Amino acid sequence: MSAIATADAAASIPSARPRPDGWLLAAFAIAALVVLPLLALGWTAAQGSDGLWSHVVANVLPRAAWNTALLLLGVGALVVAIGTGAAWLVTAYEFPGRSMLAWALLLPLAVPTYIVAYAYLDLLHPLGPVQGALRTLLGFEGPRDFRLPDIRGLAGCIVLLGFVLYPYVYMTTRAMFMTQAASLLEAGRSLGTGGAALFARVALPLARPAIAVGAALALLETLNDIGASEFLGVQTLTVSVYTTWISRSDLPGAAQIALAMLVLVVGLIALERHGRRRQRYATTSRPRPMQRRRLRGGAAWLAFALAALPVLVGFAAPTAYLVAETWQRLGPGAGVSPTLWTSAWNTLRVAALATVATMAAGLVLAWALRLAQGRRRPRPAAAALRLGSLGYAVPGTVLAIGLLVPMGGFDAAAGRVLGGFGIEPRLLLMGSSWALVLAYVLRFTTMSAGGIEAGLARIPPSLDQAARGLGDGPGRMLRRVHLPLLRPALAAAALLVFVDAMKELPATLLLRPLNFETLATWLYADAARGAYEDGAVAALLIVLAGLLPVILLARTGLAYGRGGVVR
Amino acid sequence: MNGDAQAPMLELRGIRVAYPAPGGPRVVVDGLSLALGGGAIGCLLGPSGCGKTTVLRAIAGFEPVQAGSVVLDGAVLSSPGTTVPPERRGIGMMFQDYALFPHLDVAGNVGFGLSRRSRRARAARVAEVLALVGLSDRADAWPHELSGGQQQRVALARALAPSPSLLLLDEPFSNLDVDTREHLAAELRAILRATGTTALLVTHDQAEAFAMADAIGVMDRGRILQWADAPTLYTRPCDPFVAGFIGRGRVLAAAALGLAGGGRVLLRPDRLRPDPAGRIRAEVVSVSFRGPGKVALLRLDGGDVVEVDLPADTDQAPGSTLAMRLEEDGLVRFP
Repeated sequence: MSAIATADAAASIPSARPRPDGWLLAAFAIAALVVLPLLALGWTAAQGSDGLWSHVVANVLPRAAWNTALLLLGVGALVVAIGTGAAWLVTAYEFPGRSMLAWALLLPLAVPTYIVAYAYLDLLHPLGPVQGALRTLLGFEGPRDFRLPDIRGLAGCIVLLGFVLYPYVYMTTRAMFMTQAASLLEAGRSLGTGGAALFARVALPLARPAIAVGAALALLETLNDIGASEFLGVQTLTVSVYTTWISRSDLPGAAQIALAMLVLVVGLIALERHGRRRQRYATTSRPRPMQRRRLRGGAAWLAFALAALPVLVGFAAPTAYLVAETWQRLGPGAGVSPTLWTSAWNTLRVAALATVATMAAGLVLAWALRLAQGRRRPRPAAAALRLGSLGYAVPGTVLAIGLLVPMGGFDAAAGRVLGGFGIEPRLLLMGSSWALVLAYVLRFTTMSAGGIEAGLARIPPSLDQAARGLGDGPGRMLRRVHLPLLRPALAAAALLVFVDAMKELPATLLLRPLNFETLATWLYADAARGAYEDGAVAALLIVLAGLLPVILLARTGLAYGRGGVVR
Repeated sequence: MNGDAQAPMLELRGIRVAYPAPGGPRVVVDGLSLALGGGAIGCLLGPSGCGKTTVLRAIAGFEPVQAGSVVLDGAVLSSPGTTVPPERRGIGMMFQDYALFPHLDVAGNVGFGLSRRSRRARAARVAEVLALVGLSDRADAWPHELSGGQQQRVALARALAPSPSLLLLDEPFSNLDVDTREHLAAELRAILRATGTTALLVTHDQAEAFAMADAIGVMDRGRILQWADAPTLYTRPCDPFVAGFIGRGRVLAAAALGLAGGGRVLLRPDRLRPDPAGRIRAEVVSVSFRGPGKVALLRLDGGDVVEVDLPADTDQAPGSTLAMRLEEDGLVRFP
């Protein structure tokens, strides 16, 4: 009797059956979208017409792989040396200008690799300002009597990339020194070790995981770079992918080289993971800033000069050059070409669209994980988040080559559907900037998902339960509780995504529609022609936008460790 | 059995809850049943890790059940493969950390669950429950401006505002200092009584359970060992674990006290009295002063050390021997 009554009552409650979780399904869809170009890449690579490797690849790949290996080794060594050295200087010693340099050392992050190469090609030109000044100073007549070694070539490329990419190592290593090292370094000092020995025997081994993480990020950027190596005439894998497709129209060949790059990417990710795992074990004691040793006289000036050099080379000099050039263009009697305004508008529009879409994708991934954690079944959602965050590790050219075939397929299918309705067929994705938006979303969802996930982690799970218990479903709860609380994290992530989308060059070069220029591609075209016209204005705009996230980073990162000073 | 008046408001029928874990699911609650009448205040009491919070989460709908069912007011809310989502259950919950929304003021928090009502109805209800918990003057305050006790009352008001058919309270007093705790336990019970709310609380503190609840379930390892009111639990524990967990005292072999029949007995500290003619001899291990009297640790012949209340004027040095008499009436025996 009562059993029947109970069954009736149960039937009257709506949707007691477990519904498929829409958030989780959407998260899987996003993850699939990220994985799709990688699978397509393998498929495309297998389409080579003549034998396993296309002729192009057989001729190009060995040299390009060798160049890339040398470039990675060189840049790796340089970023570790500069990044670790600078981090140690500003955390272990006190000297005039130290606190200013501590954040200024982050500034080269605002300068994309292609812009630093663009600036130095002109700055160090035999007829340019630096060499001219040197000749005047040393009393030489002309470039035939005295010239510096050409920066074009592998060595120049290594130096320039090293001086703009070292901040990745600087950031991770400095954070390590500031939060972990104090008590261990004090123990080292109490055992009679000081100065250089303290650095070599305690600080450096301690920082090794942080160095590995930073170096892996810097090397992923090196692999991603297309502008600097192209301008400086270094035939890397990335450049080869680009030319194999654009100049030789050999898509399978390009895909094969791209696959070779993916192998390198996997290696770098493994390095990064390894470093992170060790870092976790290292977090034992509570963060405490270390006591800095005050330097005086010559030593203080030397420290200042050493810490200032990377800022000068990686940021101050190229930016000053861009400012000077821009001043000439915008000054009296000169004008900016209308192309600048068109490409600036294109850049803003595409970057804004991409930011909105990327934030949405990141929110879906992070929110699906949060809901799954509430159910204590986080594994599938965590897997979706990890897959969806893969994009940042994949170089832009590789991603673009992987997207060409799926997008072409989509456009063909959509064209047939449109044709069926009597609408003139056109390329929905590839013929418009939507291809760019999609590529940016896939590449930058890492940042939005990561930022939102970190923000959610600071909201206690009991708030979710309270909201659910008071009658809110997942969507309503997101809108009424979590989004208001996430606002700062969302703003920071959106800023990072927007600026990175603005600066993006490699994927943009491959996927933009005909006659569609962003600031970055316009600058690239300028430099590739050897014409230095309004490119400097575009470059300066990109650098200024790039300063915003660096300022954000400096403000959050430097909140730590205002330590005391040993006199 | 005889009409709706006797039908329980909340009924758990043999529920089982397991978490996925490496190496197979870990069963946290296993075949647990209880029934709570309308307007009654129940309590799950047990050591940490016994599964009591998981029971609460299963009732609230945050945890699916692998066996059994959760029935509220005659409706099945959870059974294997079927879980009504938490937001459709109409069950209020008060959290250990109160879980007040930091971006909403007191009125915003209390009105959170009332969003489907008109603005005026919502304001009236918020004012009503704030008056009930005595916080009418703090409606505009932010959660971080309130004391711990005030935060707890806001959390209570927020949970009561939608008039839930059941209120769940997870360790409601654990974040408060001892003085506030006793005062608020009485107040909370009065509020629940005044509103006729059916409530189930979870705690590891026996004093809280006794102060708040009409019926208490003592839990261990995912099961309820005994479901009864406080006096019954104290005087007639059904199980050695319950006996040891409720009140002071030790469970030891009957033979250690010279009792025939085998099995074990619960020895409360007031069951042994000093008596020169007593048959039980014990060595005094230590004596400490406790205000109204003294408490001695005694070593029995068999080696068991037991706690015994002694009058304040006894003066026994450690190492001396004491003759004791066992008060056998009301002595609890286990097989």
